[in-house]
Amino acid sequence: MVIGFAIVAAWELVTAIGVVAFRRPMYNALSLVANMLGLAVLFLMLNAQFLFAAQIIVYAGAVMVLFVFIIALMNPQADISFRPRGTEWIYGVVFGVIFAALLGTLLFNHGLTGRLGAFTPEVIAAAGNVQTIGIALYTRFLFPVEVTSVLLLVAAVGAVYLAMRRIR
Amino acid sequence: MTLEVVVETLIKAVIVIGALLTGFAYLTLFERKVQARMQQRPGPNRVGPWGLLQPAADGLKLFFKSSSAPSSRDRFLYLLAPMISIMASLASFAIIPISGPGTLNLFGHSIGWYVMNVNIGVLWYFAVTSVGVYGIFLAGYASNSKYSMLGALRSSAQMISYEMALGLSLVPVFILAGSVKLVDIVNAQHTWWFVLPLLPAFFLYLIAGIAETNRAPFDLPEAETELVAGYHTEYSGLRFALFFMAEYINMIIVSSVATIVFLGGWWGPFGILPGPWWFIVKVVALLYIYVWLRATLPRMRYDRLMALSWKSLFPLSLAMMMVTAIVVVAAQGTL
Repeated sequence: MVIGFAIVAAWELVTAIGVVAFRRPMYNALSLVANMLGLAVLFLMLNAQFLFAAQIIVYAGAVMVLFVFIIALMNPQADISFRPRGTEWIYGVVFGVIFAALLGTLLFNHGLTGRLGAFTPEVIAAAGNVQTIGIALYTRFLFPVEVTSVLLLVAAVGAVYLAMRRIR
Repeated sequence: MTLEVVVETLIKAVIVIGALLTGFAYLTLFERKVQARMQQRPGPNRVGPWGLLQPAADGLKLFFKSSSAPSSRDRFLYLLAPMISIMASLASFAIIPISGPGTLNLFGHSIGWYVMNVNIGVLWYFAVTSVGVYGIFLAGYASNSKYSMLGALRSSAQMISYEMALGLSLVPVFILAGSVKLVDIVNAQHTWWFVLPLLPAFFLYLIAGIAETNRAPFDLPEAETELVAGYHTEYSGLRFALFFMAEYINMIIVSSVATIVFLGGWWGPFGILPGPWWFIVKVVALLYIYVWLRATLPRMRYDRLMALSWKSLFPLSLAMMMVTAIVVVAAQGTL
């Protein structure tokens, strides 16, 4: 298990560097896809099979396909050319320090393993992974789920409205 | 996970891949033969008895063909794309239980009739096929050709759109079976196949499945009259063969999933045949429908294809889902 985690963690680091280090937008986007697939494998190793599938279907399979679409159609490599201003590294350092501090506090206050909640692997295995998530979402978290779905619906309707207006 | 489980899974994976590749080879012959009979010609009948060695001859020809590739291609992605396609198709068969109930007892081990029985079941299939979109899209992008790019764009848009209808058309089955595990779904069909109460969902699934595999009459991505060969225009030799394999294996997988979730999987009436044979008979019957449609129907126009998905199949599967949920709750007497 530890060896598996080490392999996936290394994969995550390499692909995350790839997201920012490649010079061609298509490779940046595909690195992000690879990173998301690795994240899905991490979910799988944490016994969260449903999240594994959802992560791949929603993020790698739908959201990132649209990113890749746009990059292939717009070809931003040829159209947009940023001239480096020489001050970007300041932002990098500031945000890097903030994130490192956040991660550090998390690590020292809670440790790496975390606390055992109500849904232990035995409880989930008895009810089924998908069933457990479904029951939790539609009983205890019903209100947030419905609010989020209305929000997404509004976004979809708004996108259709904006697109329609441009066609006319 | 013990070493024994790893070895068992590996052996089963090798067997399944071998069976799928053989199935692919003979599916091409089956398609050519059936289509030929429908068009009143004999079809391939020169290589071996009844043309039975034709797939081997085709394979050899593709193997020895020199591969040509566009010089302005993206070298890495051009190689990666067919691999993604074939891996996605082969991996999705891992969850299909070809027989049951119970296990196969061999050499003192009890072996399941599937490569793996994951508790997310059908979601594995959706996850793997959604990665398969990249194979097709990257093929079009990396070829750096207009035909390939147009074919790839059409294909990915089509696959993403129809994946919604495909997924939603299976939700009524989950509601009736109370599980997404394929083994549980088949066991729930011991007395009644789900195709009887869920006939509309079965048709929705078949239509979406045909579109998802880019087959006629939804084969817009490789509409040869306008796009030469679509996303694999610039591929030749064995690399083309990989895309070809992926398409036909996807057909087998869509038919297998339909068999499992709607047609009762390994259950057959009267108990006259053992489980795996029932499974194969049903899959071949569905594949025949695929070929039949290809020989019968003309290609759809692209905007109609997208409208069919978003304006008909999607709302219909949502409605089917709600009706099933209401009926199930009412039958349980909790409404």
